[in-house]
Amino acid sequence: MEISKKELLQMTGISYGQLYRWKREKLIPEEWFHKQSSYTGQETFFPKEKILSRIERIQQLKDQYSLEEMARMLSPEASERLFHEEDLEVFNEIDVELTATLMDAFSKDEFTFVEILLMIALSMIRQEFSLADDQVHEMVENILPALQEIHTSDYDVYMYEIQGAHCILMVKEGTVLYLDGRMKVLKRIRLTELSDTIRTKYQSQFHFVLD
Amino acid sequence: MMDYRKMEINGAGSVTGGEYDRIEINGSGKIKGDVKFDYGEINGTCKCLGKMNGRILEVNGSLKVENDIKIGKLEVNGIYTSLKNKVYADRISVSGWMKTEGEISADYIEVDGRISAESIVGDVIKIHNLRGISILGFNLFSSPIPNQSCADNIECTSFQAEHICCKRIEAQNIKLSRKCDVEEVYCDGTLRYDASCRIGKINGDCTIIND
Repeated sequence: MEISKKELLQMTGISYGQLYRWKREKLIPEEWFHKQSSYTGQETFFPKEKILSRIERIQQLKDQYSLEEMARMLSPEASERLFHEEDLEVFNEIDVELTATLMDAFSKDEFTFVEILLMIALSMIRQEFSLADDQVHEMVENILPALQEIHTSDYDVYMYEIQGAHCILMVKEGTVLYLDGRMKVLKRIRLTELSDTIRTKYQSQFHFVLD
Repeated sequence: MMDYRKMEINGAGSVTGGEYDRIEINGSGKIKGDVKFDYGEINGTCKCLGKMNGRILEVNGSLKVENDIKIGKLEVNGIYTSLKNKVYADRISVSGWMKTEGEISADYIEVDGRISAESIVGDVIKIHNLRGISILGFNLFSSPIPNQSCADNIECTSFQAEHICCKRIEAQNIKLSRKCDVEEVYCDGTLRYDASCRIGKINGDCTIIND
């Protein structure tokens, strides 16, 4: 269910200035702003529950934390928060044997929250399909250019098989896929759901704040 | 003690980008990548191919940016141009011309001259139309300066403008003068405009005052 910007401002009592400041500071994700045609012209709509919950949280926290701190807590995938090698060890879901392989494939030792989610997704896939390290390494190398364009968690990760090779596809949530019949989808992982699970589980260790 | 990192170009030159406490260009400079700084000053012309992120940026001359920028306080005495990129700031002051095909978002925007953008959003926006703009002779990148400001969409808490052409203005309070031409206004507070202004459609529960 969606709420229009006008209704949102009336209901919450926030101003245009506050709304756009929070958008600039990534406290409200850009992808939550949907422009749609209405009888009065172009109007902006938001996912109702998410935005109302987020604004309530911001108003609760704003006197204690800076905007940047709140963005790291509320929107780790949107903020520039980085997770270091020692942080990876906290996430039980990341296959320990895979950590070195993944760090090597990414060629760095600091990771965004979206990259952490992908590492967890790949660990799940590796375990379920008993993939070798080099198969996972190859998948990461091939998806890496696309991953650099992805800064939010509203994507589905598909693992599919085509003519004996395993490949990864990352698709924006809600997109309908029509695949060549030779491509067999083996697994789908919703990063949004995974993000909620991980943020809930590691709330205290990383100070994630849930909506 | 932390080293003080300074990037300075005197005359003509280019740099790759990086993180600095202070950047200064006196003459003609090119920044080829992303740049982060505390304080930046451009006296002359500068072209930046990457993202700019800084606390204060002062432009005396001309700046062209081919990526997003996020600045605390942006002051332009001359010309700022970018393509379909974001111009994010806490505060923007322009004496001259600011042109982008993307979004300008700031708490406070004050323009003495012209501003052109797809979307201008924020808290307080004031646009004063100067008849004779002095651009300090550094207009190397742009087409002739338009004779009025223009935007597709403007949204803010308080909006005041002279001689602007706009598809849609949505604000709490609006004051228009000197031949503004607006297709649609949405206002919840007070809408003031003089007889030289044309407004196609007025929506919202506002008090209308004709000056």
